[in-house]
Amino acid sequence: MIRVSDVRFRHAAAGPEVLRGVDFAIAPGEVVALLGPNGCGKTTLMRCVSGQWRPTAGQVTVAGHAVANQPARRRALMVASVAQDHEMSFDYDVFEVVLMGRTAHVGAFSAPGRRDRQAAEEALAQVGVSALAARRFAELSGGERQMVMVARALAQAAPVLLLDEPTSHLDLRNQLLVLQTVRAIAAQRGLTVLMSLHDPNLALAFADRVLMLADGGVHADGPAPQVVTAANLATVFGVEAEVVELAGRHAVVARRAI
Amino acid sequence: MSRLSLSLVVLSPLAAAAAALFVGAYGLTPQAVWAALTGVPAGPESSIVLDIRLPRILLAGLVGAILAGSGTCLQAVFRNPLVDPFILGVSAGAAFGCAVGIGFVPALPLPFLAFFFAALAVAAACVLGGVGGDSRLTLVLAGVVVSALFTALVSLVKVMVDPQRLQSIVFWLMGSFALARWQQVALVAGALVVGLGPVLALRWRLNALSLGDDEARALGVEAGRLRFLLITVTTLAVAVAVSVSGIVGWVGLMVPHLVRMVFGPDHRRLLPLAMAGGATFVIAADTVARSLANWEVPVGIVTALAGAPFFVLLLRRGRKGRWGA
Repeated sequence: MIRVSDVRFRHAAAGPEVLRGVDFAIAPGEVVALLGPNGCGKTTLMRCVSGQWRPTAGQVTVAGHAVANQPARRRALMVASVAQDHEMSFDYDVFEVVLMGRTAHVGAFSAPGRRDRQAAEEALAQVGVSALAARRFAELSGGERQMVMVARALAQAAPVLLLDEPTSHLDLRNQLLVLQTVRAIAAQRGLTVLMSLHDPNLALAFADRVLMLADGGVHADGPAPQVVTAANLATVFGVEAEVVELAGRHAVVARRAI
Repeated sequence: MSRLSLSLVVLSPLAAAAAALFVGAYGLTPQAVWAALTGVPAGPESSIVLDIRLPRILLAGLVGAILAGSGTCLQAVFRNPLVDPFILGVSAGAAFGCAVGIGFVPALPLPFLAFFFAALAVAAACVLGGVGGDSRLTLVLAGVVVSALFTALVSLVKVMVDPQRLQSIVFWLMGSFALARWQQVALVAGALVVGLGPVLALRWRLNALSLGDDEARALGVEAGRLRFLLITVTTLAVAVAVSVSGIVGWVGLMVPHLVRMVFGPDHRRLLPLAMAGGATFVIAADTVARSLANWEVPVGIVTALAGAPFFVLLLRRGRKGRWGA
């Protein structure tokens, strides 16, 4: 579904290479977590996959189409994104926000119709936040906001869902709630999910597969328990940690920074 | 918000226009106005209604709709509720055109000069600020630079000309509909259709655009291209409006705010309501301007005098946070 072929990226022609030949593919329906320390190129890679930034070399294709060459509308029909945080200059209510997810489905000169409103309502219901529809987005809690943004991405009805550190501003319960919801909906709708995460424990709990990024390249790639290992955590994150197994689940116990 | 109050706002320009027809130095009866409007020739009354009051009222309404509509649009484009339609230097450019016309080349028509320099100022700001690029901030700064330049040039003209001409310049800068003719009504109506027509048609996309370029693109909007289009059409319409009426301040900033406070920020509703509100407000302000004293009070003074306290009042009573950032 997603194919990243030898992607390289630098901000300025003379600048350092942020991504140095990243190469991987994600099959339809897979839920993949991207792990890596700050500055390893996670966000850059997410932006290249969403088509927001164009790789300096190599290319990203989604369903066979190079995303960087697509017009915004076509891209939005293929890929829906959820960012870390959301600032709005105007005080839209939740339903208006979710309805904006339908932009790519609505003609340039028209307004959303009944079908679009229905899609927005379904998305809110599937995420379980229908009760928030009439609330003002600005007065929601961080967790509620993120759920609404997931609903907006669902309303977009794209086969690929990208989440860039979707849990970084959330408390423990909301982190679990957001990722649980994403996981369940991805299964129901058959979505392909790529999410960047900070917490290896969340990756272990919610991803089929983990890509560990270090220094602009893929350091390890495979099923979560095989990638999130004490050795990888030490080399990539510089953390002395132990991976324990409890009742069939793996968990990282971090000891100290090396 | 109820349908009733929505329809009241949409219909308010008609009510304001109808009421304004009866206000003025020459008292008119409803019968006389009706006779004039239905084409029965009835002496001076017909002429007062058809040649003086009606074009003036329509011009005020059209200019109000353009200013408030453009203000709404540009606030979304720049993601800033403090933006007004003059942000890219339209008013400073027009003021310079007027000053040059009154001061040095009285042979050339004033609206033409005002429009020419208004458009020039916006074009300069857009070129300097890179209108299709990613940073709105540079565009705003370019507008500030261009405005400062033209304002300095206006001051230069002001100190160079004789006091009578100086007075004309000052008066023009404060805005007036005193010289309204049908020809100008037609011109500004054309500007409204060409300038705000596309904005009305695209208004739902203003919601997505107001989230910022990255999010707008992720949702499927070609943000740079849409912004370029919206800035071009609205500022041209504003340039035309300013060229016939002078600089009527406050409307483009305040009216969108007020409407947003009451009806929320969804541009599907906000834009048409702001345009109707702008039309009503300027018609009312102009009616006050021409009947307050024996002489014409510049309408820009009335909009500021009436607008500022009203604005403060609504700010204090308005639902917290509903109006802005």
